[in-house]
Amino acid sequence: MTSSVAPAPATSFLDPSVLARIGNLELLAKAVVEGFINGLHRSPHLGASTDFAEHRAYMPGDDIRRIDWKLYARSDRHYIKEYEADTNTNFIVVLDTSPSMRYGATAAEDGGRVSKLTYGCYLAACLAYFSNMQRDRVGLATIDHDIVDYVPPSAKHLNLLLHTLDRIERKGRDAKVTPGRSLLEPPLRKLSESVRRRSLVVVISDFYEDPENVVSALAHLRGRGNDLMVFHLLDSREIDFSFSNASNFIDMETGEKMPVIPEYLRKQYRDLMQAHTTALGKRIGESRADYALFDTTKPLDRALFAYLLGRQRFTRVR
Amino acid sequence: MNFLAPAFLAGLAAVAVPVIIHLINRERKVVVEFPSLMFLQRIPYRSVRRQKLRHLLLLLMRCVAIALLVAAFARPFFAKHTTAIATTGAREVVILLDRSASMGYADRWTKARDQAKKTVSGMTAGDHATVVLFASDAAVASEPMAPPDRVLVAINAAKLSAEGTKYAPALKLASQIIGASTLPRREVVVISDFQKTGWTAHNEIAFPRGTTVTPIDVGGASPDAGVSQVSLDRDSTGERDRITVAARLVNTSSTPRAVTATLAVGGRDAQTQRVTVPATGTQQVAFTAVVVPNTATKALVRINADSLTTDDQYGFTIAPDANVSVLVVEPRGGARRENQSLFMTRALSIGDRPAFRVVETTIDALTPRDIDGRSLIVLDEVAPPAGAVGARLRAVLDAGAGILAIPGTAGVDNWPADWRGILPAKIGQVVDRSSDAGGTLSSVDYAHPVFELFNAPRSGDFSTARFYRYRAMTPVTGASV
Repeated sequence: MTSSVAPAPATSFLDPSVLARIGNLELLAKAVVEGFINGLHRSPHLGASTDFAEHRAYMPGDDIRRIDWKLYARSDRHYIKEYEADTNTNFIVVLDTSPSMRYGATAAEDGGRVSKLTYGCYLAACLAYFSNMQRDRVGLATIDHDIVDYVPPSAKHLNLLLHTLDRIERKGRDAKVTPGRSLLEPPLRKLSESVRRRSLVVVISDFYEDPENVVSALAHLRGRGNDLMVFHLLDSREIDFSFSNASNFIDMETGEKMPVIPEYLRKQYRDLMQAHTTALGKRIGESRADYALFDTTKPLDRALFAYLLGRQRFTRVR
Repeated sequence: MNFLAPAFLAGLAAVAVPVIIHLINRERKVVVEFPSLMFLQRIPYRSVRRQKLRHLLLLLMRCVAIALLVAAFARPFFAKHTTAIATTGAREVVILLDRSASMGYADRWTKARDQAKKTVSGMTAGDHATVVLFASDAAVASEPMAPPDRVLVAINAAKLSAEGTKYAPALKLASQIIGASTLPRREVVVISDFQKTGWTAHNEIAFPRGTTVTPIDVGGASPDAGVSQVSLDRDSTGERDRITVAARLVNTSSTPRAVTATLAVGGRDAQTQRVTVPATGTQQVAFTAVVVPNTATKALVRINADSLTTDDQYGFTIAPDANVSVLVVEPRGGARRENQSLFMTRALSIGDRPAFRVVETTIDALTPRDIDGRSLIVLDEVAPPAGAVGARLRAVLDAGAGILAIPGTAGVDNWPADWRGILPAKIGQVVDRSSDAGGTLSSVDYAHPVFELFNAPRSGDFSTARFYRYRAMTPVTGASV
């Protein structure tokens, strides 16, 4: 649903390569998030607030204080008045740290672009910081073919979360490529088992998997009643395949080699990638999750806009 | 276009090298890490023309560079458009006839002249022939446009010279004659024994186009013996100069040769020696010393004549005696020290040009006859004699001879008063400086003939020489020390 991302004045966005100069993730997240309105998301549960939601029939055991006596006077029936509950919720970021996520970093003289993993860390930090400002409980799960780190959701865990992200980011920058394809399904299933409360889960990954497999992996989380947002991170070169020289391409996950002459494969590659992202968006949308594709050269703020728009939609989803 | 060294064209195979390099270079791929080959592997494999060359201009330039290099090694040349040599029409013939000394060997000269005559006799009316005789220089022997019979006369009149061979002047002259000619057929006939030493690398001479050059070799193997060198060793130690003659004999034939070598002085055979000169070798012949005649005399070393007579004798001239005659007069009897003038005579005998012939005598044995003809008289610690001898000495001195007076320990006090007047200085007492550091020369006039020899750098330094005993001298007016 990238099309739904509202365009914003370019000046308000912060370039990821500029943000990369901010060493402190909290400061970074603060710099990005600052200025957003708080109190936007609503609890999926009904609770005690000033916003009326609906009436429902009185059931034995309901607190009689909650009976709408005025309605009883008109209808001679007992109805309970229910309100929207402005509560805090669980917010969990699931960040893919597989080797393929390490792609995209370039030297300073070559544009100083950040890798997908770094971008994902920034994004996770911003979202967590933002959610924490809402008094939400924030948690983090980093995964490759299994859960790597898990920070359980808690209102006090922001610092721990930021620290974990920071460590991942540094580790990911220096780590060597270890062969082995990462899979979403096992870690997400494991995660869904450990998350007890209904949570808002943001999955950040590059999704080099068949869309069907992705959806079935996400279904574990979705099936537990969690709200799901999927952020698909890709480097611009992964999208447009802008290589010029014939080269030996090495798969960063499996270590496979393949001689590639980009000029011959570019068009087909672009078509396949386009089909992949379209299918992902379609299938994930069908499973009532939100999907957004991000180019790592785009400012982080756009991701936050996408997130906020997604949240608005979720308010009515029960 | 043709090639002087077409074998080098095989190097054109090297043109394949840049092509191969370009093909190989293309395959050297950069390794690129990519997140996933998921999509790339799905693209059906399509074979790409691997042989496709890139950087075609670069490849072309490399190939051309190699091709040019190979072509340069093969030494290409363009055959100039040759003018067809005329086969009909009147001829301009230049006959170059070698008359150098080597042509005198055996019958070469006869053969050469016969060939020249043959060439002339083959000519028809309207043809022009010019005879050029050459040795170390070249000259036209026949008049230009001369009829054949006049040319034949010129050939018959030609004589051998004692000079060596040089081809350049003759060829140059021939090219001038040919160049000036208007006849359609031009020919140069070179008749020679073609001695190698006559050629020089420089002096490029070009004949006009269409000129035919016909070499006629009248040479061949020439086994010969000759006198190549004579060395003279003059001995001036005695009363009369004696001279030792040594000759170097050469044999160019492949067999050893017995030779009779004769030294003739003033037209008369003085000595004869028989030696055997080894095959293609040399032999030294030394004659016993002969007295140098009083006048300049012709002499020669001769061996028995063979095919080439020119080198069988070696003439030279013996110049008369040119020595400086020195008379050293020593004191009589008991006053004479042993070996008194030894150092002086030895020093003078080293002299070579001119040589000094030193005669020693004592003052009491001195006669006017001894004084005659002397260039230098040394009075070694003796006073000039009185009487007839003294008068004679004075006469010689006036005639230009020199007197070297050595006062020594005796001084000049015992000299007659009139003799003392000829001395350039007033001779004082002996100064003994052996107790101190001795005296040194404060300055030496190197421009003076006496010291001129020492004027050159590193040829002697008088400033360090110390003198412990000397006589005080006061130069007379006009004299210099």
